[in-house]
Amino acid sequence: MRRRLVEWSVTWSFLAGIAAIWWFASAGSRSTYYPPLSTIVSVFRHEWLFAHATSDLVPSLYRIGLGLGLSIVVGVSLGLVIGLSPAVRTTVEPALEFIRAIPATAVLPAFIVVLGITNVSKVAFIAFGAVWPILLNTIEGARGIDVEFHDVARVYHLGPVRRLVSVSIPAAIPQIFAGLRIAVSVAVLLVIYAEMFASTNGVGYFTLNAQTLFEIPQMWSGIFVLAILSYVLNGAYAAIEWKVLRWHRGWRSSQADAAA
Amino acid sequence: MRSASETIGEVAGPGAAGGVSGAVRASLGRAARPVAFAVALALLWYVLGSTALLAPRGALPAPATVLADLGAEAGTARLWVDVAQTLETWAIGLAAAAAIAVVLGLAIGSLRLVYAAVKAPIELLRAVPSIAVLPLAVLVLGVHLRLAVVLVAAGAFWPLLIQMIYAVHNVDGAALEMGRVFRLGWLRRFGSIVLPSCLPYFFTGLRIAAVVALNVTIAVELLIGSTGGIGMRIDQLEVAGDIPHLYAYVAACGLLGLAINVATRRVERRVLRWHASQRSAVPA
Repeated sequence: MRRRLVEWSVTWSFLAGIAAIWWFASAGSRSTYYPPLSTIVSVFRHEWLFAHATSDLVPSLYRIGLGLGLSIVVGVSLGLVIGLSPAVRTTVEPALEFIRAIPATAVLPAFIVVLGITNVSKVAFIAFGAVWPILLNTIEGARGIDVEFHDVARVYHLGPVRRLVSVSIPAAIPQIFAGLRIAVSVAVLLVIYAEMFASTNGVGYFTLNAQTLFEIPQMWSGIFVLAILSYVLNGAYAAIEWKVLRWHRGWRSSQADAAA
Repeated sequence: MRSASETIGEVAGPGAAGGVSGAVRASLGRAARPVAFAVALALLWYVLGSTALLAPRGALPAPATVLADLGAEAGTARLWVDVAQTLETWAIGLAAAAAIAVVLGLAIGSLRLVYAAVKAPIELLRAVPSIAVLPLAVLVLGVHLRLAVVLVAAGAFWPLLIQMIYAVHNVDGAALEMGRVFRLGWLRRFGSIVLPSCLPYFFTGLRIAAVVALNVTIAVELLIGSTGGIGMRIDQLEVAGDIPHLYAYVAACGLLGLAINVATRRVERRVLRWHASQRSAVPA
């Protein structure tokens, strides 16, 4: 506990130090590209509390949320089917291997051609990119389930639904969450990219548009929002993971390893 | 044997297996099913495209058309110049990221106090996709190849750095003790114990970073449109409305991604021949 406190104070004083250096070093800055931090902060307050929070931040969050939700539904259900059946696995794996190898960022224009410059195309695009880590990890998780679990389920005459809900899904969940962690960062990258490529709102759009209009402090404030958004979403994910997986011994010991 | 049955499976389908023995039929089934699945996907694509149920007419050109276009493009210089440009950006960015990440990762991993200080900033910075600073980078660096390389390196850097720090923290303590007992100098201990045991982690990071780097390369090419490469070509084809070629280039991207995956895995196997994870005959 005390070590935690020391680490915590070291890291935050380090961050505060960097912020302070930036603040004072940039105080009298006349550079076009690097305005004073105080200017950025006041522009940030003006733009993002709360005018553009509703017009740009909310659409970005909405796209990330729907895209991730879709990729979870598709990835987990397909992953369970593929992971639990060796026959299905050998049938679909080569085709999946090829589709997965396509860099997601290359597919965006195709999504726009099919679905137009709409929220639907952005959500579908994000889901397309974020589904792979979830799908692959669910397959691995379902494959790696202890045979004894299945035997016990059979002995207890559990029906297929009960077996899925009480045995297969809980056993695969730590692995599913490992995939979800990657999917969150993929979704953030893809939403920013999609909004910069073709959009009329969103934080990515706001930031690139500010740069095009040469509103440099606004552009900086957009980059700040993107950074905070990424960090908060990753943090929120970690909190959810901790809540959901606390019961899992393997997960706890892997966390202990990571901390050591 | 296997390749022969695959050919039969492709040409004649499972129905031709009528008179052959059970074992041959089984292996035929194994080879035919993935092919049948791929054909079914292509058929679904074709039906969706020709009935315009999901998309406007012409938005999903027939798979055969796309394949033919890809074949025709492969005979021209255009595709290969684009591939070479994309690979160049990807390779320089990835190599720069790897060089910096290995040095920094080894240093941060070895020095506990430094690690405590930079842990939170690393967590903060690595969460931010490199594409977020693209507007700033365009202003500062201009729209050159350098811009793409810097953003690719920034994206590929984090997975490599995290893996290297993790690698140093997981060096076997007993092996280090042994080195001390044998009175190996600091440099020998580092070269013969720390570096080799970090290699598997480095390759895991490299595989992740290679995929990130390819994604960022194509994203920057698509967004900036003056760097050349496959991404820029895809953007131009979309603007020009040449949809079959658009899909042909996306498929080419897939083949490139596949080639990169296979190549990194092969290099890993070659370099880590001695490591337990690569000796599959021995159970873990």
